[in-house]
Amino acid sequence: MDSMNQDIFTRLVDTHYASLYRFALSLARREADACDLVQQTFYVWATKGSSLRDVSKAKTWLFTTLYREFLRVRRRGQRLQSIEELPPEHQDVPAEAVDHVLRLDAGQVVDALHEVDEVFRAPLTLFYLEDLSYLEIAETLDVPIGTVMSRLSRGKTQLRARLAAESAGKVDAIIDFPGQQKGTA
Amino acid sequence: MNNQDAKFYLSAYRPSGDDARDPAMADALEQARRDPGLREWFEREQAHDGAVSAKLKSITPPADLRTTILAGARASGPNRVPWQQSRWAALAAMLVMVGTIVTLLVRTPSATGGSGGLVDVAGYALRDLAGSHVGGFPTEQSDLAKRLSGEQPLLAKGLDMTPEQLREQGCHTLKVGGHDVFEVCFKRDQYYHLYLVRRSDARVEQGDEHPILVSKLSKAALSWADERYVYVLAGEGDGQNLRALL
Repeated sequence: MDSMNQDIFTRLVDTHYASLYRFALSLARREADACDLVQQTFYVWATKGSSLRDVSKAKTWLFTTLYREFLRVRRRGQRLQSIEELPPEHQDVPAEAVDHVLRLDAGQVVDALHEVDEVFRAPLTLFYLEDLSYLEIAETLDVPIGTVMSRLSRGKTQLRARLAAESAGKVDAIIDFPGQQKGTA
Repeated sequence: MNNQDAKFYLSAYRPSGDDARDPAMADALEQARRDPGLREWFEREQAHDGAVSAKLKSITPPADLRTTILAGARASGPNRVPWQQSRWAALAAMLVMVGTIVTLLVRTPSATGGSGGLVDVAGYALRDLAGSHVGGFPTEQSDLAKRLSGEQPLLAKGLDMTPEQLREQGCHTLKVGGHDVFEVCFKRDQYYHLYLVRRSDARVEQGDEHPILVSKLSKAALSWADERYVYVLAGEGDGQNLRALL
């Protein structure tokens, strides 16, 4: 990697590593695995991706590579979901759904995202990260546009249910002031 | 476009508005403007999507991830020896090297007693020289690198710098096994590479204050310790040039 490529690489890292990490975290769940995925993605770039002629495609290339790396790791033992198990197609957002989200912290939202079936989680996360358009998500995941739309729709339905459950289950801790006992004024 | 078609597209409309110029989205947006029911649905959808998106984007990567990626890339250019280590355990040959330094210094008793650990450290530094730094020498222009490139670095006196000052100089700081390893590259008749590990993080034995020279295949490394750091200086040659820098 010459100094010019090094500069390009550094800019690529600075521009995309945070979003790639968030995507990886939603897929892999564990922080260490997410870091590994991001590092592996940039390693592949450093060894192969720099030959990509159209630098404007780098963003899609990086997300695609990360996703493929994730699939490669997960391929063995991964059960494909049957169509009968699919959640229903898009349902309207309940009025209180936004409040559910606002009540939660980022970690709880990620937890809820982890509960969404993997097949929906990838497009859903890419959508929420807002780095890629639906066309780019289709390219990244190598699925038709209609499939992206369908998975987004079903994924959102699942996520909303999880977020509602997460929000309902959240009990704020009741903490006494020092020297006070529960129930005393 | 009917409402069903519009929903099909609008459910993929990013809250940032980045999709507004997409022709299909533009048609769907126009449909939402015309139809109050669809507009209400879309506004609620966008509010929810925006809230989730904001939460997701508030997650910050671990502080050292960027540093690790860049360090890994420096050691993984096209001229590099093919990557042989296991995929996750060794993200870059350089990380392997510094990781091994720390591991050897911190955890592994010297097999030969005395300076055995430092000999091994120097050996690993030699291996790293074989193909690293293909990405350049980012610290070359730092004041520290210039000082080391000057007349006589007198490294035997050690570096009177705190780890914080090393960081300010742009030294690569890699967190390996919970310990910092600093690296500075500087140029004299050739490029030299100086690695530092806090002495308190290292397994230093009596006698390790004396420099140990290891050479192999026209490369050499010199290791020693003072009260603050363990040093590994590496470069091309038989080691006489390294000794001259002490």
